[in-house]
Amino acid sequence: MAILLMGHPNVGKSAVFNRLTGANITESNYPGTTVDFTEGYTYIDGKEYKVIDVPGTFSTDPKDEAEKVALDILAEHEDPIVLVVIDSTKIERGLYLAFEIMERGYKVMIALNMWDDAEKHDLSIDVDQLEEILGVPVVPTVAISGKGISTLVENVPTASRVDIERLREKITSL
Amino acid sequence: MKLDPEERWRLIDRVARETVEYGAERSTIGSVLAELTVKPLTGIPFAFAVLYGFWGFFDAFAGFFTDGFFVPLFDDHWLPWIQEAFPLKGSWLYYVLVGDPEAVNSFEALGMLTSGFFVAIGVVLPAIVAFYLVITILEDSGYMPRLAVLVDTVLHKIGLHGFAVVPMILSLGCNVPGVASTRTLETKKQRFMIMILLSVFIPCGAQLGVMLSLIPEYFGYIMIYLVTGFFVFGWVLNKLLPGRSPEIITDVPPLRTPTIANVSRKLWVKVKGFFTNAIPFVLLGVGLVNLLYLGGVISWIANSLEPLFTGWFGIPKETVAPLIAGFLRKDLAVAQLSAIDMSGFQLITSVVIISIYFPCIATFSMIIKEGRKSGGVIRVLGGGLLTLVTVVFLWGGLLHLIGILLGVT
Amino acid sequence: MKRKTLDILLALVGAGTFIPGLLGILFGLAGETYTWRILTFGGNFTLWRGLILLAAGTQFFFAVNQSNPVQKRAQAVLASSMIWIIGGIEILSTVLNSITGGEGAWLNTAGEFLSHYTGPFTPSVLLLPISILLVILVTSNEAKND
Ligand SMILES: Nc1nc2c(ncn2[C@@H]2O[C@H](COP(=O)(O)OP(=O)(O)OP(=O)(O)O)[C@@H](O)[C@H]2O)c(=O)[nH]1
Ligand SMILES: [Mg+2]
Repeated sequence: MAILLMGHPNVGKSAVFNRLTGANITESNYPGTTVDFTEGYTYIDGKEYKVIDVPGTFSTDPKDEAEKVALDILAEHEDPIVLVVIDSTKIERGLYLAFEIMERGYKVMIALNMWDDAEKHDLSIDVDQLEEILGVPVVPTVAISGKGISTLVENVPTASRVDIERLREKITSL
Repeated sequence: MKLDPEERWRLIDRVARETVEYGAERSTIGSVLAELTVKPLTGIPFAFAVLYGFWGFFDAFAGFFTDGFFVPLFDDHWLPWIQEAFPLKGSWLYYVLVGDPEAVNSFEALGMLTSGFFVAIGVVLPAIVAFYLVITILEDSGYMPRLAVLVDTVLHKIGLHGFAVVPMILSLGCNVPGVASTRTLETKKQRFMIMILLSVFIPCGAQLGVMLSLIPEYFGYIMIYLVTGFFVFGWVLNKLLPGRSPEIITDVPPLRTPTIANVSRKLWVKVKGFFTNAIPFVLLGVGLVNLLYLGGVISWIANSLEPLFTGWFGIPKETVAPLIAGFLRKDLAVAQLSAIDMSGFQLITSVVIISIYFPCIATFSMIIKEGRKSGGVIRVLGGGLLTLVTVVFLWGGLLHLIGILLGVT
Repeated sequence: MKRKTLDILLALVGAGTFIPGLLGILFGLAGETYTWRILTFGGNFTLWRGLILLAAGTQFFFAVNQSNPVQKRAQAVLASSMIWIIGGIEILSTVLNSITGGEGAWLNTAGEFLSHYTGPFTPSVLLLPISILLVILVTSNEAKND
């Protein structure tokens, strides 16, 4: 089973990856740090998962070679879990990418990373409600301190596909 | 099922309004500070202060280790000991491994175990530790992309558009990731241009470090000449090559306090990489040059290229040996150059030539790898070599001309 | 703190930075070392340090000129951090120089070691504590005021 870490550049995917796998790949406060993919392994409930740190992407139609790498990885794996990493202070654009991936029928879960930054900006996000609306696990994380990573791990088995038709109805009727 | 973008945004807007509550948007000292660093009027003086800090830190740190500890350690203890202890004095093996039995400093001994170790451990290691420490702090604090934006703003003011400043800054660490990061550029033209310009004109961290510790008095001139070359040839290539080079928009991340954990981890990865990747190449470089000397190859090349070297570039023919070592490691090449007897201007010229004449092997293989994705290896290499030869002759020759005009040759 | 008081303070620190900067440039250009009591101009890169201090002083003056209080403070922090960079490097190299010994010795003797710390000092080192206090003042006010 593969877990793909996807998200915009500089949202902390590599930091989450390092936390999940104990690896040492470069994290920089810099968009475009990771331009190739890195694989690692982690065990959840005795099951082995292959975790892949994917280069940052803005959307699912690639604009450059690094984004192409990202989409190739997505296409290559059979039925992966896509862990969409979102910068909590820029939640809308993160959700945009998450929607695109959900529309493609992948199993999805969401990490609201940089939760500490959101708190600093007095930004409050109703995680439970967001989870309820989207129907996928949503976990606030602070990848640099490790906060929320264990919850993230616990929720991996519950990552799920989303029926877009139903989602649309649900949102429209809010 | 797929949504169209407009509907997607509409739904997301709805979700966000339902679940996200924005605090009052107020500016803090931190956020204003972040803006001040990219505005030219305030940002440029600050950038100069940062560069001075970089330089000063380097000077103090590398000087402390190299001059304070490694020079006496190698010159007073290691060198005399190995010169005596190594058997087979007079044999070719002694020459390759230990070098000159009479040498009194580790620079001029020229053996793998003497000069090789000294350059690798005594000079390059402190240099790259100092260098990467500062780079990592600048990276993690978020200042690097700000510097990039600032440079970009200034470049726009003087009419240079679409330069990829981020790969450029990455290249200052090492050309290999610099070349790899050209992947984030949109068009083939841009990727080709930046890839070639980076690998030709931008010296890597190890080379910068060695230049700063061995020839600090010439560092500024060399860098100005190289960076000017970057932009001059960038401008020319941009005019000559077909294709588009669209604006490059960098998302500027917030300023953050770098964490000790992340900085030390990154530094550790770099240092480990240095021990496994760089040291063998430095030793190999020294050994290779020694073998070529023994085989008479170096003097043959030096004599046949002498007209070109002394006539066109104005540098002594002895610089051939460092040039050969430079294929493996540019830092080693600079160290070897600094041991050759020549005038200051010749030293500047030869370091410039070392920088531009050919990328090191590691960068070269990365260009081949990336070239596959940027219009084919043949095209990239062909175009690259053509550019390279032109650059070396024109830019190297021009420097000689400048020297003649200034009357310093 | 009253805006007026802060402005006066900033202007004073600004002048205290600008003038040594100017002097540093002059001594740097002349290539001379000049020492007066515990203050000295000289050493490597005197010209550069002078230029940066001059720029930092100017940034303090910008801060006086700013009407928006947050802008004003941020500007002051930026100017101070320029002083910190130069002063910090100065201190670092003093510390490192005090450790290594001369010919034939790895480490300095205790007396030699201490002699590095008795001055005289360059302007940026002397300005360091002042600018640190200033920044503490300016940032601690932030929490209360806004
Ligand atoms: N404050 C805070 N910083 C974080 C958090 N997660 C990551 N960072 C920092 O954010 C920066 C970016 O992290 P990376 O892991 O390199 O981001 P990435 O998504 O892999 O970026 P690309 O490889 O460029 O796509 C680094 O400086 C991290 O230390 C977090 O939860 N909180
Ligand atoms: Mg990454």
